[in-house]
Amino acid sequence: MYYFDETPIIACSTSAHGRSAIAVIRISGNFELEQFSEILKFSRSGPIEPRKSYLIKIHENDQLIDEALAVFFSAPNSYTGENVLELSVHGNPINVDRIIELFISKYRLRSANPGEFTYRAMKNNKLSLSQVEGLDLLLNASSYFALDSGQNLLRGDLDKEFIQLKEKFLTLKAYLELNIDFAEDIGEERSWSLARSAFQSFNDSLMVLWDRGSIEPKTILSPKIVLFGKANSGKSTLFNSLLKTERSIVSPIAGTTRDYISEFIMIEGVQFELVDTAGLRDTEDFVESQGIARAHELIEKSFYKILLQNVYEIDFSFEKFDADLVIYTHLDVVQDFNLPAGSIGANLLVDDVTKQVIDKLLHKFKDVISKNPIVIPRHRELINSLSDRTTSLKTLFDNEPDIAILSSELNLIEQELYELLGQVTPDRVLKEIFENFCIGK
Amino acid sequence: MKVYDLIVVGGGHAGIEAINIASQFEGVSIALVSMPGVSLGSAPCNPSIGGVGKGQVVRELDALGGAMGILADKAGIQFRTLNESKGFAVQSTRVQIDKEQYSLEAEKFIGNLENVDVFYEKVSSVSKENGIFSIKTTQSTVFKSKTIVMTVGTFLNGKLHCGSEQMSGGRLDCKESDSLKDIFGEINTLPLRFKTGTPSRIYKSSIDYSKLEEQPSDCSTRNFHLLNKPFSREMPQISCYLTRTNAKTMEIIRSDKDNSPLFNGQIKGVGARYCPSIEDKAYRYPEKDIHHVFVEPEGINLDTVYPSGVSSSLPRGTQEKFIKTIAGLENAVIKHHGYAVEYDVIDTTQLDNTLMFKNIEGLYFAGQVNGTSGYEEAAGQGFIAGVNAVLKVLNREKFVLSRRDSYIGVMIEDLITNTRDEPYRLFTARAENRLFIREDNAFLRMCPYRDKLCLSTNLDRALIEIMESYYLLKNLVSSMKYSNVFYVEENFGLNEFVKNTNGNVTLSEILKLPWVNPVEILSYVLSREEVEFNTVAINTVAIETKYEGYITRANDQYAKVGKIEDKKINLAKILNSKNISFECKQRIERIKPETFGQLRRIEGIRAATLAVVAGGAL
Repeated sequence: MYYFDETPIIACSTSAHGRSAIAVIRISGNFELEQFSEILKFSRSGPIEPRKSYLIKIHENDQLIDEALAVFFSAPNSYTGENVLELSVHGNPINVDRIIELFISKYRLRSANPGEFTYRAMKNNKLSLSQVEGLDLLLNASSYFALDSGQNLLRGDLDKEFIQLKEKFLTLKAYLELNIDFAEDIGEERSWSLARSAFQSFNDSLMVLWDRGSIEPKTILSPKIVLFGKANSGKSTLFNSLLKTERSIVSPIAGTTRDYISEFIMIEGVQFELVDTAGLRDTEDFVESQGIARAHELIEKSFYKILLQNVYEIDFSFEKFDADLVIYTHLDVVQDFNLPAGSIGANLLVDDVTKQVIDKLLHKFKDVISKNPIVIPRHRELINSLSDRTTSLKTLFDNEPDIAILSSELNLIEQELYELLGQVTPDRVLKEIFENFCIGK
Repeated sequence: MKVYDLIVVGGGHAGIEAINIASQFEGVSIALVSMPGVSLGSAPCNPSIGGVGKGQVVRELDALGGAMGILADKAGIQFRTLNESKGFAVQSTRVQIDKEQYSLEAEKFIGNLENVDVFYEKVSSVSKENGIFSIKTTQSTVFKSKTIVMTVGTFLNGKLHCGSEQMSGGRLDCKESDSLKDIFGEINTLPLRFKTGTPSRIYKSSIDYSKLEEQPSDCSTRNFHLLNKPFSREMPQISCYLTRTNAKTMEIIRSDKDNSPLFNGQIKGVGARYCPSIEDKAYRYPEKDIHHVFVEPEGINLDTVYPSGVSSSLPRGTQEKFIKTIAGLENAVIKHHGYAVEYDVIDTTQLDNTLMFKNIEGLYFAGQVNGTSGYEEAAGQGFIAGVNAVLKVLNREKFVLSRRDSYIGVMIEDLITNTRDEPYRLFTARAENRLFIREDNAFLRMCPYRDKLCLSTNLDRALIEIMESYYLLKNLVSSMKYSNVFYVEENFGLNEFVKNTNGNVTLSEILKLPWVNPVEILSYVLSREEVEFNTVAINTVAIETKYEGYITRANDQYAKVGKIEDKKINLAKILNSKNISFECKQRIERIKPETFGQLRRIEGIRAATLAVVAGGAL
């Protein structure tokens, strides 16, 4: 539920769970500093300048309850675009709650809803929708890549590209209108060729974005490495070896019931989930087993698929999974085995093999990232839909064109473009975005 | 002294429509006071009626009982359907007229109206006392009336420019009117003046037609007037011709920039971007030398042509020089030189949606004085002002067309919701509902409005007939199974499609197929079935069926927008927003809209601005 008022809202911006030395309480809205003078006692007299920190005492009924640092931001030069006061208080949650409660009861401040500070920032045009999405990404990032993507979005880099796309669209639209209302002045042929080339240019830009959006973001934002193959192909050995070489970390995701073994490892700043399908109906008739569907899904959604083949009993049914890397094990058994290009052969899984695996894995990861993928699902959906519409527009263009219909189709594209720019934001989009935020961000 | 119900000042296209519609109400007394020496319904610029977006207006007027369609049909010497290959929704009719004949017909038409008196005098002042207007002329005649429609065109404080020559005047050989301030102390005109221009007129006999591309009259273009036979012509039909400027032409114009009143500061008025003079084209687009020049006859007996596309106010000598560089015009002899006219316009935001001046009850403004260009735009406004003046006298409800179903409605709303910063012309792009507001269905769109006037003329009877025909045919098309009309497949390459549907397809589904011409098929089917329908109804049903899905979709979209129409907006926030362009903010600040709907209707407000505001109002 979002409010459309400017009532001052209050919340603690640090994690609600656990203790910390300092917690920041943020107040935003239509308030004046003086109105809190009964609670907040500044150590220095005189006017309080924005963006400077002051030592203050916090009183309840003339009793000192905490000492804190206060910074005031004056509208519109603040995160939310409203007046903002930030108090760095001692971080004990009980202390924090007492101070917040004091403001609420004494000054009728309202406890902020999840994401409400950011919501206000967007309403006041301090952040665009994509920037908010970037912030979300940044705060929940599990790899440097995701961090960077979030930062890029927050800086408005992608916005710029969307705006360019919109400008190309407006040119196209203008040329179509020109063709209708001014074809006589411009000449029939010329006005069509202008419209066609404007369409081409719009379409080209859109296709570049479409390419960048064609990578499933989940596979790179929380990338999985999956090991699969028949029993005794060496999956567990590789699994353990990778864990040993790389830093294994505690999963931030709370314990889901799992029928496969997985651990998180950090490789060059990227957090990968390493999955051994051993627990997944690892029987002789694996491909036919009940676990098929589940295994399929797991393998297909993985970023990096490693197939282990025991050269002694190679199972070709695994080839349909299109593995990124095939490792042939037990090479000592078959002496004259010819390693296919790109694959790795291993007698024993030693450190050297592990290193090769990691090199190949990182190579792919960097390669994918270098394409500058678009990772926000909302963007990808809209770009996909835009590209569908544009494809059908192309058919209309190529056949004998009824320009009135063309322009009516163009209106639909326009709506989606504005949605992409976050300028038309249906309720559901807002809801989804702000629900991802915890209090205080 | 006689007190008229309505006095119309000015006998141009706006004035004629105002008088004509007013005269259709029984017992109403009307007078026309028009400038002496200016013929009624004259065409001082292009000798043509209609055009893209404008043809729609003429047909709307015609279905409402207007005069323009009737007069254009009578004086039409070349008919064309513009945008013929681009789909029905954007097709428009344009008729070249014999301008001499047009004025003759207009004078005859007005002369035949029983309750109308015509006076040729120049108005010097207007005043209002006890609810009655007094109109004084320079001959010291005084007329009295309950309402006034001012259609004074480009005459207000008019000033002509031709090179360094300047003279007062409303147009060539016509006196100007006094400034509005002198006539009407209480009314302010816009601080900026508008400018329009016209090209030189060339003797027909001096043109080498062999070098020009001929554009003959199209015998398949329908007449404007509903009661006329669709393809009959009153006048002999002649051709227009196309030629082009070249590098030499443009060089002459460019080298004389210092003597161009438009560019040396002599003319201060604002011209329309969409109707540029040849100087504009030369100086603003220095890399482009080839521009179209349409050679349009001004009449059968008139000895001149109108070279459309080269309007100019350059010195006479320069005009002669550049004209002679154009293919076919090498030996052109100029009869009248081109000139520009600057004139006062009023601020249309002071008018209500009946074009009545908000602060002076009973006073209406219509036509070019409102900052519009074009005969059709003027006529549309004249109609609205005239009919509303009479309805006011009769104490009846006002007459307002919606922008959802008419170009006239689009225009009136555009005019009153914003202050003009350049002359206004109708484009189809101004209409949100373009697939629906077409020429072919003007009768359908206007019939409910005409009904409200409760008049009973031949037109009203004809409209009833066409509407009946329309509904009947609409039913027929949606229920008639295509298997019953198997013969069509032989003629329109529909074999494959019909086979796949096992004959279980209605005629209307066939008409929707993207590659068929619905009018052709429907006409053919009906003729094979030997059923007779009004051809106007056939056109409309066929085209409407084709666009049905798109129109429904557009309406659905509109319904969504409609919901937030009445939502209050926060003006201060909008004016502070970083996401809204400076120009948009300026316009918003001037009009001060209160609701989203009002904001939306301000001209020049970009879709993005609306989106930002709508987004914030979620």
